[in-house]
Amino acid sequence: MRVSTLDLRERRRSAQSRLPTELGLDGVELDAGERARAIASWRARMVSEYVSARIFSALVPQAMRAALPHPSVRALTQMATEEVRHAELCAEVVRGLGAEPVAPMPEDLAPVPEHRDADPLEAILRNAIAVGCCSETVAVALVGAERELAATPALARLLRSILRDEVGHARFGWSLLERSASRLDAGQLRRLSFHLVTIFRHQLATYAPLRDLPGASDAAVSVGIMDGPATFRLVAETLARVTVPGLERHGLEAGRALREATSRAG
Amino acid sequence: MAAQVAAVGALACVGAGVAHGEDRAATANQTATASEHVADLLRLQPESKGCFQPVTWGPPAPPAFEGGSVGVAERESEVCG
Repeated sequence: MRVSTLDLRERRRSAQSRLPTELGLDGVELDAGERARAIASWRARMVSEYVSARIFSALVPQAMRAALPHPSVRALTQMATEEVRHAELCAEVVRGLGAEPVAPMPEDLAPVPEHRDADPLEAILRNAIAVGCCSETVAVALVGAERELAATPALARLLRSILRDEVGHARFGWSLLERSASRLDAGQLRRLSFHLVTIFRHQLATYAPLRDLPGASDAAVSVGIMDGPATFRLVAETLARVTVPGLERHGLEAGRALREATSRAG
Repeated sequence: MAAQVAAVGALACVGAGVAHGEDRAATANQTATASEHVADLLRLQPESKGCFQPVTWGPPAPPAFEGGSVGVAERESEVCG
């Protein structure tokens, strides 16, 4: 894996006034291991948010090809900016934990698929469902739970700010599906349903490692350390109880796709 | 435990060192060496026992057209510890 370095030590002047100056995390009682785990987690999250900007940027030409209306294209460009802002917020938490917001960043990032085998609307729907209806919907659940348990009011406010954007990102996928579903013919619905198996397998493979992680103390969870098994359960429940019914309302065979993905995942 | 904390410090120093070195337009060899050093740290991940972030998540391609999606997902999941 080729890596570069993501270095967010330098704050933008314009952003400085909008960033929390004191998160109060030094008052949280963590043992050395928990603090190390928290720092590692927020550094990785900083990178994850930062590289997510490429996903929304890649959706812009796909949205144009699909002739989506201007507000949709504009929203996608804003979402890319929001992901970079989230990385800056994560950097504040790293600082609040007493560390430098510097982390290794992989260079060989997977490209966002263009789905040239499908027509433009079906192509962007494949990605919008994967990103908005699955990944970002799961993110809403995860960040929402995290905010409830945040160690300090300042950290809760920071998470709320991220959560607000994640809700918008999830809604992009759901609203595009809502607006497009009536225009989809039987063949497109069938192919999208088929692609859902791939999307769910991808989701399960992405989050499955959580099952092998240890649990976490209340103090650890309050600073953003994931309790592995509990977090995996939340992911699975969100997919099964929110994503699947939502997709099925639009004529997609999501329940069947999730069952197939689960059985293939073993 | 102390080793973990020390490793965190080490990662920060190495990361900072890499950035600093690149700022000063290090030679290609130096940059490669520094990158390899960070890659080693990533592989070992001594500082990050027990954390998880899907660092390079993204929408999958259909396996029939562009390669196995599960393989991609597994490669993309960054598991710390």
